[in-house]
Amino acid sequence: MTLLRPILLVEDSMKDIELVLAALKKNNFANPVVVARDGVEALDYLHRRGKFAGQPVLPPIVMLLDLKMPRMDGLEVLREIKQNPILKVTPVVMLTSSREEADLVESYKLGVNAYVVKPVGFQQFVDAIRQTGIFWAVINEPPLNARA
Amino acid sequence: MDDPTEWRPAFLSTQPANRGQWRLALGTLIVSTAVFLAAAPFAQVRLAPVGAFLPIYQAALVVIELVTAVLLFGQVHILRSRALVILGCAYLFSALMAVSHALSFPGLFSPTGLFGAGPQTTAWLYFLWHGGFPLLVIAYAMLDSATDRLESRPTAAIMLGAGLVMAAVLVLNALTTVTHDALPAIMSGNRDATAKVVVATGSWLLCLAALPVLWRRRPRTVLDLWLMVVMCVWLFDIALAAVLNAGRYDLGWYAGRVYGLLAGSFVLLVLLLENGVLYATLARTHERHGKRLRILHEIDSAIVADETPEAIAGAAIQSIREVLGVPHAMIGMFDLDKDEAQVLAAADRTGAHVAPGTRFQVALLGDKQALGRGESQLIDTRELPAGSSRDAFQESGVRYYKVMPMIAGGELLGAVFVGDEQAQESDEQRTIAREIATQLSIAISQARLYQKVKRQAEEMETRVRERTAQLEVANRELEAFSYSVSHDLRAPLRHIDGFADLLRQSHGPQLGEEGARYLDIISDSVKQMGRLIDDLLTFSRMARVEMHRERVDMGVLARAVSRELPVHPPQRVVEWQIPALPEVRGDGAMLRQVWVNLLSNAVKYTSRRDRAKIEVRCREGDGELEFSVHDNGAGFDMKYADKLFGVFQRLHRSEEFEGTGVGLASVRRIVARHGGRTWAHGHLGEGAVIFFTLPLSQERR
Repeated sequence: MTLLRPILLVEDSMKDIELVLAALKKNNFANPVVVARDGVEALDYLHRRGKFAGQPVLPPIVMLLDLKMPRMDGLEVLREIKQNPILKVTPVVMLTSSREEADLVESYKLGVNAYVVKPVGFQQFVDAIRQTGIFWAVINEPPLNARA
Repeated sequence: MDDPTEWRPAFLSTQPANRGQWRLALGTLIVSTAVFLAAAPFAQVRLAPVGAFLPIYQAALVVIELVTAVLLFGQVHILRSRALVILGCAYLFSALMAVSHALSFPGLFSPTGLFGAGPQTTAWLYFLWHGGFPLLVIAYAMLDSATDRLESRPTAAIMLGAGLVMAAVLVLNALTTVTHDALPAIMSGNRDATAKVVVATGSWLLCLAALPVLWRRRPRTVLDLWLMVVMCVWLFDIALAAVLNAGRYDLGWYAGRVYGLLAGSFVLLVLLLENGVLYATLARTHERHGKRLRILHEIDSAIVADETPEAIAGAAIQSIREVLGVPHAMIGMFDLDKDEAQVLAAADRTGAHVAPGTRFQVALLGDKQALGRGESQLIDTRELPAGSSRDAFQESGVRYYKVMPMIAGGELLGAVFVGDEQAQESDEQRTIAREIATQLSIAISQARLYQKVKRQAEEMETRVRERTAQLEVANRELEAFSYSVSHDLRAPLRHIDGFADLLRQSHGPQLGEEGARYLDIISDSVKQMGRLIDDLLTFSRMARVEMHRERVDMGVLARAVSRELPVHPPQRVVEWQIPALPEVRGDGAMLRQVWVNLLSNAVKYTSRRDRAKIEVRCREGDGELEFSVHDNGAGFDMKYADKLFGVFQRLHRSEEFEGTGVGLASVRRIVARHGGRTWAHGHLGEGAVIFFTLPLSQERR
């Protein structure tokens, strides 16, 4: 059996991490979830450096990226990923509270793959995570690496 | 010509004789008289008859007098004077009579003279000639120069005059030849007969009579002066050649002819001299006019090119001084509140000048009231009160100042100062200075106006810029604020709801029925707050976002919104009546929000009706379109109609109808940004009508 590629959750709020994990669990996702607490950690994971140095890591099947984070925010992470010839194939889904038009426009300009606004109601939130997870982690088939 | 400021060249026939001319004329007269007195005793001394003398003398005389006549006729064209026509005729008469006289002179062309001349013919012609000329001069002098004006064409008048003269000469010739024998004899051979004295005295008296008439003429012009000399010399001529002498070829006869020649020459000489002077004057005037045009052009250019009064004055001042031919010129502006004048620009012959900006008392410039009326002032710098201003004036080497006021729109702006050594100024100088002052005042008042407008425009622009900057800052702050609200206020809500749900799942059984109800309330409150945040964000965005005006079909938009609105419960019957509505110009997304809020309100407040009826109407009012949404819902008390459109204002409890109290506030804000108004009508239990207007787009008006 092939190893399931992980879902990379980039989120600074512990509460949100817990809720996302709960929502994923509720929907019975089998993929492992790797949590990065800010943009720097997320890039560390992708580059296998920092606290992820030396670990055998699989490229994430999808990256759930929050916008507002300390150190390095979501848009900066997105820019770096989409400008990197190897990392740019990583599917990135914005998962954020912001419904601001400016954030949407900027994310899509930088090449985001999807933009999901976190609903306030938990049921709707679980629903959103389920649909996002099913599409990106189950239905969608991302390349393993950038070299075909 | 009627304009007194128009400069005219001086003519012999218009210019009063000056002292020098009087002296010259008097000198000529004294010499003539002295020669006459010396010659008179010897008038009868017989000299050798020189046959060639008379033809030479007559030829010269004819040429001189014809040229004189032509020159006088020439002046008629310029001056249009009847008197000059008559005087020209007098000289023409004299020339023609001289010809007749020569032709009939015995022994000159034929032994007895041509044309069947008898022995008396020549002598008679001589006296008719010498009587006719002074008669014409008297006619000339009798015409009042003040009212003398030739109404007909000059050429026609001259032709008529010349024709009459020729006819008169022919008649006189006929008289002295055809009716020769009827005339008394005044010559016996080459000697004078006694009757001659009577005839000679007659023509002599005519010459004498011309003198007082000429003397009385006003103004006594240069021409009049020399005509008097001519008449005096004619007196000597006649006296010597016809009265005092004994006959032809004696000293008196010869001397008289010389006088006649001299008399003819005076006016010609003076006329020729005048022509020379006239030419020089015209050339000078032409040059001056060219210069005047140039400087006026320079001032014009300055008006166009320069924007400040200082620049205009600076560009024009040196040229003004040159064209006026004065040592010093200055342009000053008045500050009448302080009674001060300020130098805008100054120039003098050496190029050194009073510095612009120098201030002095307006009182130094004469009568301020008179200046305001447009009267120029003459200031003698020595009469100024002692002080630095007077010293400054005198140091610039100027004795008199002429102050020419600059007035524009009835306001005394300033003055053009012309500094000179003498008090007098020519008409031309005065005219030019006045013209320049007028032009400058227009230019300067325009420049001031322009500067004022420019300053105001700049102030305005600065104010707009500052205000825009302030607004931009405020807008950015608002944006940051609402971004925070949007992001940071939602997160805790989500957490509350999320963990409440987790709590329900994990500890549901322990909480019991009461605990589950509490959790539901927490969930509902969170959702309510979520909606409130969304509505508030929309509301604030409606005020901030830039409007993109486009053509919007209100009917299509309203119908589309009505179809998309969720109806709870789904089995409810809502009867929509949305007719075709006009197109408007506005922001499509914002207007969509208007319909969403109004129609969803209508759906909401009709939820208790079995059959909900929602109708949209539109009518055209005074330059605006009035839209209205009618429903048969819960309605409201008109007492609270004003509160409907305020933020968070609700007329129903949230248990009755859910809502945030922001919807109608958003509608009012959007409509106001489109230039329209909003209001409502309703009765409790009978439904409500919400109205809004939009201005008619320009192309539809």
